[in-house]
Amino acid sequence: MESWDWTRVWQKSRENWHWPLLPRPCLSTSQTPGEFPFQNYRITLNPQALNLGPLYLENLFDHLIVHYVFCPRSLEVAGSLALAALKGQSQPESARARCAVNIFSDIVVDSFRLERSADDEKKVLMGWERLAGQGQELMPLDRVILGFLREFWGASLPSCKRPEVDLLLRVFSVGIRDTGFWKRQCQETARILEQFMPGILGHGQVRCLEILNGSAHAAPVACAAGIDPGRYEEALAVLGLKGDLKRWYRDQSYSIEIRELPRSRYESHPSGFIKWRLDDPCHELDVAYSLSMSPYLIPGVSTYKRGQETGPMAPGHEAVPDLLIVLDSSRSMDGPKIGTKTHKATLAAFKACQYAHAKGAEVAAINFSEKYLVANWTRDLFAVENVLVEFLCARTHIPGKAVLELAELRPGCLILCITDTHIQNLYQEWNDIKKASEIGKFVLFCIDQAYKDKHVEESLASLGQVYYINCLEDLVSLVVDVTKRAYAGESFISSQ
Amino acid sequence: MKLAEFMDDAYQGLTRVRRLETRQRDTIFSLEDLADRVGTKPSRNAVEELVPRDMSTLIQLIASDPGKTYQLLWGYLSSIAAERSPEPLHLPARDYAGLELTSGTILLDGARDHVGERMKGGRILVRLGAGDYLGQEMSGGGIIAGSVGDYAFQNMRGGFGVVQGDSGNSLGLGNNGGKIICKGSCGERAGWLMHSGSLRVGGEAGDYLGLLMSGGKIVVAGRTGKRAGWRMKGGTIMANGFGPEAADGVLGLD
Repeated sequence: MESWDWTRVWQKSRENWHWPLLPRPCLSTSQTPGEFPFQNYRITLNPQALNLGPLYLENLFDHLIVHYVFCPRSLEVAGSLALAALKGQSQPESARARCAVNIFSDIVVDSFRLERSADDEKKVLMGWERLAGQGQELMPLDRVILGFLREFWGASLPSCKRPEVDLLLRVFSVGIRDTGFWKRQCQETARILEQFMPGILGHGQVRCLEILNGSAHAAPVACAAGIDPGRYEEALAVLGLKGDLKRWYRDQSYSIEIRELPRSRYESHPSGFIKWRLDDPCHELDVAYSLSMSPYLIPGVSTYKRGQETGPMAPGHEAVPDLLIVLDSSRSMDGPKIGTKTHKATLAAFKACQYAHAKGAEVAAINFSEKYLVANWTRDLFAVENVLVEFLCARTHIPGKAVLELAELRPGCLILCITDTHIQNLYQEWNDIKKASEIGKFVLFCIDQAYKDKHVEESLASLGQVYYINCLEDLVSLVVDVTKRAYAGESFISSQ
Repeated sequence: MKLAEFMDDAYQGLTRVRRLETRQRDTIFSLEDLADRVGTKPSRNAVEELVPRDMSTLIQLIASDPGKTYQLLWGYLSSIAAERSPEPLHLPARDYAGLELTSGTILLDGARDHVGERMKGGRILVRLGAGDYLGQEMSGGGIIAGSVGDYAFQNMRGGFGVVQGDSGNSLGLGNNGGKIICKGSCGERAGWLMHSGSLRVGGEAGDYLGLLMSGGKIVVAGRTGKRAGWRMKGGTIMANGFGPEAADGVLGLD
């Protein structure tokens, strides 16, 4: 087949699906078997597929397009399916989970196409019949899927008498259109098919738009909330991405919403002309306007003044304070696991930094334990996050001098200190911290009030605003609230 | 004319609305799926809300092996299936069969532990022997078993239990009502801490019959072991013969 032929088939497939914004496929040139020749914004086409005729090729293109426009479509959905597949496996493994996600999405995509029109049904069945025609090369996994599709679609595909076919039929008995079922369906599919993997089906990358567009490394994956970093990394590995602690925190912080109330200033402004009367001050009389309306100035009849109205106006530009985060990462904070003090404190710090950065502020960070890490004042959010994400896991020694040095560089900055108040060198560093609190606006979040040190608490209270956190769940909302008031409200900074 | 037909007519077959056969109602795919949604130790109401209405799916769920993790869920499902089934439901021997059963009949060839726990109605027939904790905390209905292990009908508040053979130790421990008939012999501490209800033993009873009992009635056709009625505060113990150190208040059957 000539090259112009298959490009026309691609255009026809795009036309079938209302011209989705996808790049034209490229012919694969890789000779290494098993290698995934994927590049950004490129759909790769196996040259052997060209020999199978235009109808098969159209079927293939349609299938790929529906992956990108329906299932899994986005990285968010792909991430949740990957998590579900891992959960469904008794021994979670990323390659098998990827296979399960691909098989599940293949079933969804082709069932969706099958229901669409008679033409689509013909193409879908042609593709699966070709797979069924491979006979001896089919693995048990493929036979189970073909047997299931035979029953599910009522198609003339090879039957399979295994009980897993009935289980799959039960899983897909609710249909494929309700996306609310996808996670559970994918989890069950992975559970049922785990014993049969691998097979011919399910190979290749999970197809979603962010991966195709090359933006997957930065796109938020909200399913990070509620799972441990290890499981999060596994889920991203299923998608062929690398997850780390920094991304875990960042993805969770995206789901924390800071809702800003619309602000306005209330001022008077000139409006239209109104009558000037004898009891009005003389200087308000607009002589020029009045004479333009009448050659004779008769008070209250042909005399005018400029009216004034009071109302809300767009707020003027206000300088935002720079933000210094002082984060405790001592052993007593329990480390970066879900639900620990470190987790909540770091998550709150991430969100505060992101918000301040979005408002145009410069950000700095100190992560302290026995030693400490510093990110100097910068607009580079990643540099600050790199410091915040570290867990130093030693004793609690607050670096007062470093806090003071950073505060002196940005007078009036907002200093958010998050610690569990087991500070062992507080009195040695007291003078520096006290000076820093006088230079900037010091806000302290004390976690673990049950084990609070009374003397430390009293000392810290004299520094500025102090929040005592009884319930760890409150920490994130309190930090976010303070940050919001500092950058989007009017009461916080002015009240100091 | 429906919209789908109208569209078909308008497009003259170029497009069509074909739907794969689907169920409208949310369904449960497996015991694991049910556990994901309600947890492994749910209330019966939580399970009942999600259980599929069609009997075939319910039977498929019961047919799967719950292992140790999902045995409570399986127990609730077995009860719900028995209540919905017009005929007696024949089940494999598993723990917690008939958990909180309210009506219907369950047939078991043999039974493991906790069968008929907290049941309020219906019948459970165990052809062979049952394990421990049979009918624990039951408040209604009835259980008939070939023989039982320890702690059968513990904390019973109502209903009846019939043991056609022998029973293990602590039969009817802490009972507050209901009737227990053991046609064979029973082990030690039968009727321990009994407050009310009745216990009849066809054979002999072990030591400490009616230990610390405060109410109810125990009748033993054969002899009892030692210390029958030891420290009893109320109720009645009657037997054909008593072992050594029987309490003063116990009565002979004559």
